[in-house]
Amino acid sequence: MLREALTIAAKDLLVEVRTKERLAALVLFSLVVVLSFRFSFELFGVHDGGLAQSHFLVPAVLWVTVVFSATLGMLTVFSKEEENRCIEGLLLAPASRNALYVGKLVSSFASFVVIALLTMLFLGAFLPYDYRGQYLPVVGLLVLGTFAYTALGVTAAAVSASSRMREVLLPVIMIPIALFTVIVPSIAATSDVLLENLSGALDEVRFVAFSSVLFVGVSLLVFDYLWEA
Amino acid sequence: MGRRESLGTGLLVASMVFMFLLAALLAFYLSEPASSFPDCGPPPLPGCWSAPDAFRIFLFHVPLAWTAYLSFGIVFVASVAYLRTRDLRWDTLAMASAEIGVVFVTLALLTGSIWNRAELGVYWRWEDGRLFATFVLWTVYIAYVALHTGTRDVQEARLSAVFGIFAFATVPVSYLSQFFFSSLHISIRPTFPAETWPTLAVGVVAFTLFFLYLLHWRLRIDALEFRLVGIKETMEGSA
Repeated sequence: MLREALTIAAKDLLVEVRTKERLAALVLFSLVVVLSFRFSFELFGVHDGGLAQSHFLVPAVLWVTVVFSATLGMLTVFSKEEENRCIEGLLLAPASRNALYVGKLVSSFASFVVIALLTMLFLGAFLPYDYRGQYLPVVGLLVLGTFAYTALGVTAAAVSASSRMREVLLPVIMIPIALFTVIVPSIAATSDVLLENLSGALDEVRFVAFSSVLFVGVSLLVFDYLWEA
Repeated sequence: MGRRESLGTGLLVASMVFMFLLAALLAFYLSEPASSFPDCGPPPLPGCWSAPDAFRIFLFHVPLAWTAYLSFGIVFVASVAYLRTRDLRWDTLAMASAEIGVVFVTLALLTGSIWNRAELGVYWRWEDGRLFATFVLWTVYIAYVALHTGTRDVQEARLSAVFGIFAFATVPVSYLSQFFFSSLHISIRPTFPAETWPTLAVGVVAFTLFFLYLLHWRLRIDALEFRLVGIKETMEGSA
């Protein structure tokens, strides 16, 4: 199963590298969101070093931007396969449906991590914010949180792929489920890391890890039933 | 037809009997001031109640919350059953159960925040993980109901079923959140005195029966709606 999954992931990443369609759009989107925050904080005099020093504000802005970009990216995970009816080939291939899930998870996760890290960079450059030197822990949290969110999102995207109207509803469904399981603990962990409260951060990291295991597990159980027999 | 009608009437009568029993127990058995709670005034400490008499709202709050979780459990089981069997009746059951569950969880949130006001002076505390988790649960199932328009469309049923499963996965997570976010959760553990247990049990039975009664009628309405759609289509076809 793993080999088939990696083949699917490699195919997706190759398409991504060659066309750069999704990645370019998502990078621009993340940049625009960060800049919107930047200009709205202007009202509070962020350039005087006031709010920029808030270690509670930055994690929230960072994660909201990452979640918005990933949600946008999730919409195309399966619907882009519909264009050339590639999805039928994928479903007919002698590989289990779970391989399809794992493959899509790996390729989406790889793109979203790039977006998350670029968002971190944008925030650092434009707010500006120095993350108090805690670059590696914040990167680790971004990797973990993005993985958990993608694990949920790939399944949600699979269900909504075949119907256009549902794509509008997808974020409405996904964000409440992820809010308490992924987004809030990740924000809390990031601000704990920035405040150097490592034991607090560890609790929340465990919580996000538990959620991602739960999402991967449930997805592997239901993924086979998502497609018409 | 007659069997279904009598099931509905039976459930109504049974739930009303238990509702009256609950009201009677509240009126006659638990009517004197709650002296078994030590009144320590604010700030609230474990075992201390600043508004000891307000605890009676728990005799509605706990059954309402229990029924809400029961209905979300039914949504989960029916969603799994739908994905396995592709029988649209499971999908209808999940939708009906979710609709009623949203009403019950709304009432549980309202009674909970009324107690909060009496005991702590504020209606809502965002910093309390349990309240936040229940609020998120409420939005998740409102999204479920909004998504499920009940048109018996196969794609919609599939999406709803997967959503129903994931939505329920957040229930244990929201419970576990109390232990993970211990810093956020003000621990007030209301201990129920032994004399309130029979009333609480009656309340749980009464609300469970009432839930089943509502569920029965929701399913009947759906079946009638579906028949009406069928009749309309035949009429349009013949015209």
